[in-house]
Amino acid sequence: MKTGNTFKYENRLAKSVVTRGGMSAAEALSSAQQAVELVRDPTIAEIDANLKEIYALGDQLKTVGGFDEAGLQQLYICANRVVAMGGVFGLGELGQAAYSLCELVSRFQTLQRFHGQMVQVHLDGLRLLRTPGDHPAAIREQVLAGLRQVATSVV
Amino acid sequence: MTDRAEARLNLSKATVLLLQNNQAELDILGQVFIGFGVKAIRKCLTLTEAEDCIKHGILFDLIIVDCDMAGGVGFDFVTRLRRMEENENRLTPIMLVSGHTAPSSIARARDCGANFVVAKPITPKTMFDRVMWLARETRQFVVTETYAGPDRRHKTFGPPAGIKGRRHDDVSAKLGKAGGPDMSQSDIDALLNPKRAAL
Repeated sequence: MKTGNTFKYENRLAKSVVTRGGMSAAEALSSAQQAVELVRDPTIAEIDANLKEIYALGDQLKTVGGFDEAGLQQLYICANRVVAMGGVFGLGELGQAAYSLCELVSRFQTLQRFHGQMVQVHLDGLRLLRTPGDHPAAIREQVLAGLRQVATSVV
Repeated sequence: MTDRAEARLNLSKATVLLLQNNQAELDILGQVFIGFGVKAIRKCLTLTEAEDCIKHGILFDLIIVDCDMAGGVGFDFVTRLRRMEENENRLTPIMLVSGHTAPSSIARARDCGANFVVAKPITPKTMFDRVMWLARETRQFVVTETYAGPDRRHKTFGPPAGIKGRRHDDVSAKLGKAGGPDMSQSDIDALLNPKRAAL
């Protein structure tokens, strides 16, 4: 068996860790949060655009009624974008519901199976968690727990 | 020795490459690094753009790649970069960012040669912690027929029991013969519970 080559190398990023100058963690986080706020509105708009597409795909999948590979893949892509963006601006629970939808779709894809009601309950969860302030925390937690249970029941 | 709690991050001279699968995520990540004080950020939405940056002489201090690009091209990008022996960027710290990870992508994320994977959503706190972690990275670089990238073993426990190590510095778990006489119980006690000598 051929052995590999192992060697030490210079980590160029190492010189960025300093004791003077630069930013402390608190300064960096405050500055970054301010910078991120500048893209709040377009990001929320992008989340809503993806949710709209998810709901439309949900209707499409309901109409088809069976395993629709292309529709499921697009549903996965849109939900994964909500996973990526939701938690940045206080919609972390929406992101978790989207993650659960990704998990469900991923399991459907692996098993070549489809169950429309499991998708629909996730869409209902997304609608509810898009406005978290309208619902008590205990309800939101129960919804998320229920969605996870639904997604992981596909084996 | 620098206390970790006091460490500061100065990225004002760092050059960062961001490869993301959509504009909104790219903008968020870009803003995070602007907030961290990075002045040179290359934002790419396609593999072609990122490869052009890599091949045209820009030396990056940090590369962030999206796992969620269609067809897993983000993994391919990292794999190819780690094999570019003439390109200094092959040793640059690479962070993968991932949303939901399909089972088929888990092994690819592990084997493509990135330093590590960070789960989305990318918040300033997560990114600061991970950049700090990457900056302190001391793992060696490994090149084999099937893998090129930082050592995937974060701890040196040696190879699993019963398996012969593949590296020249792998220490066998099997003990050899004693090199001298056994220690007395009082020597062992003194070793475990050293007492200050009365002078």
